[in-house]
Amino acid sequence: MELPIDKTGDVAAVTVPVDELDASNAPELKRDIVPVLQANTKVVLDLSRVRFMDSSGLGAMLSCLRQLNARKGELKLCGMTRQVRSAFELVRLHRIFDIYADRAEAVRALQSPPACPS
Amino acid sequence: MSVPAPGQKWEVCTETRKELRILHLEDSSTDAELVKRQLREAGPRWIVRRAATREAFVSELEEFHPDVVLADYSLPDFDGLSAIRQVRQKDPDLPVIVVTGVLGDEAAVTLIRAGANDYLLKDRLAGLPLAVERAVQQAEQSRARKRAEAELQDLNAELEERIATRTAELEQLRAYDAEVGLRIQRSLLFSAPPTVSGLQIAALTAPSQRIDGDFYIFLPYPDHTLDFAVGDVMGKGIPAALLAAALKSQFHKALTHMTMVSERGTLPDPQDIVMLAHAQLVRELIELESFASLCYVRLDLDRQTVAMVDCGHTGMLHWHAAARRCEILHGNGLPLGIREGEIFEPMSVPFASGDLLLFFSDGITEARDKAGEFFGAERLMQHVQSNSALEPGLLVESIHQAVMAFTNTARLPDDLTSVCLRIGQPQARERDAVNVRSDLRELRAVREFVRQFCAARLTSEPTMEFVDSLELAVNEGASNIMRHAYLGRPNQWIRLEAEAGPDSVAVHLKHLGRSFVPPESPKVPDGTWDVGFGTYIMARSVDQVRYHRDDLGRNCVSLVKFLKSRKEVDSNGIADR
Repeated sequence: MELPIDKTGDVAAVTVPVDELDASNAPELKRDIVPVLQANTKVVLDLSRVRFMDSSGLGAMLSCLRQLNARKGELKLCGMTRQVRSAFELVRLHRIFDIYADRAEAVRALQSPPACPS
Repeated sequence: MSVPAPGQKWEVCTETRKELRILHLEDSSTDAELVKRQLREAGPRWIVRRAATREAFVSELEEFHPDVVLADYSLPDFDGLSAIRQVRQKDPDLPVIVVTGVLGDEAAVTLIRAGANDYLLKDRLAGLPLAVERAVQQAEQSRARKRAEAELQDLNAELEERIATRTAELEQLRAYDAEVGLRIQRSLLFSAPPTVSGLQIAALTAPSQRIDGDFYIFLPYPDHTLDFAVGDVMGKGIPAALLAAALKSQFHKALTHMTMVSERGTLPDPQDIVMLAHAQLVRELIELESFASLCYVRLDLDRQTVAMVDCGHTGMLHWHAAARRCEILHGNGLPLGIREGEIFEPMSVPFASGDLLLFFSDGITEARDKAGEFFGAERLMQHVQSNSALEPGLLVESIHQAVMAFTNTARLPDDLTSVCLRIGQPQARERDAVNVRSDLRELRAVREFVRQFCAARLTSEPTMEFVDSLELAVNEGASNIMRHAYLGRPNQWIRLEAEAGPDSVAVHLKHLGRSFVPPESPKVPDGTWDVGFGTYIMARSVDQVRYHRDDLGRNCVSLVKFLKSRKEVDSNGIADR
């Protein structure tokens, strides 16, 4: 899976390049994002293209978070569509992730000393 | 001459009889010589050794291995009584003959009690050889008897052990029988009630110690019609269970045949199905000296009628919602397997929305209390009357509890089987179905099916949240089936069936893969695990999740979501409706 990365200083903003993240493509994302997570400690995942996310997609998000946490890194999510946000809330993952409305906000949060997530 | 080990038998042979070894306790050498001579006169068969003191006696007893002991009654440091005790300690069967000068009656009795075999006065020694012979013979007999007794005891012990082993084996077999019987019953004789729109169905069977031949069959048709039969084969145990299984398959066969030959689009009559199944079975049943009671029922939800063929069964309990009263309807047919060519007459009654129909085995009405009184039909009707508000699942459960409380026993003599149906509001259902391959890339098609069904088939427009969560739940169900039931093989099939009523949408995901059983209550994800959300998500997204097998034996995950959610999503969020 081709992952467009946009670097702003030491912050890497990655666009999740699918409109539906489910069991068919989540393992691919999980695999292909590993180099990004290893090369960066400040990562933003932009989910604005993702209309639907299932449990496998949520699992991939958790996997990213865990890998970065293990390296004292930080992960921010942004651009969630309504349905994806609902899925996060359904399993209470919105309490675990830092979620921002848009990418600029998420990138800013990582650049400056940590601010309170919206 | 070799000396046998203690306890070993002397060879007694008439030709060459072995010498007898005699130990003689005697302090007077004159008396000893007299005894010796007496014996020598009787023949050369004696080896006599004399002990004059206690020490000598004790040591000779050990080393000489006498066949007989002769003992003087009184020695300076020892006496006949002590000598007897000494001997008895060593060998209870070694004969002791007291040889003495004078002996009063009292002393003689004391000696005999202490274990002397005989006594002789020194002035009457002529009888000594005979007395010795006799004592040796008696000792041999006693030893032989004891050996025989010991052998017998061993044999008995062995026999007892074998009986115990066999009993345990039989017990195990019986337990195995019961286990197999129960499995037959569970897997072949009962099946989960089908989902029929406009009907709530529940069935409950509490098996007795040894299973009966209780069984039921559900045969749903697509057009708001449900056939089902409840029955009870005479007898108990595996034979009854097997016969019930045979009976059940005979009904399937009869139905298949009748459907094949009936005019396109019409269902065969219940009466014809019963009569064909009976014709196929009756001879076997008669030959096996068995029979079965059965109630074959057809519910027509459009016409609101129930047709019943009652073959000697318990009939149908009908609770009328409008009149709030109960009645039990019986047919007058004989049980199956009584008479060849029996004509089974159907009866037909109307029902209305809210009515309850209950079918039950005689295990319920014939359950007895301690005084021997039956639970009875009257008590059953009263129970239904006062619990008519319960949902069918709870009602059958409450009947079971009532019977258990009544009999006040943990051991049921008969299976308790009850099937309860509540007639719902007549409702037109929208249906659609699609087959998808078990390829994860087909999940997109699964979601598309759900969205399209919701958009096109629902009379009132659902909220976005409704469609989103149904889509998510169905996606998770399909994903689980692809990954866990089909173990990732992409070339299998999943059938999606959706149906919509006025207040709910149900999606059934049917497959032929492994039946996976999700954890009873999914854990709330806490961020420490990232797989296995699926089950949890399903439970949170819809109002009902049910894992079952459909009437064709396919594994089925049924998801139901009410348009106006009856479930406030709470912290547990698990729908149990």
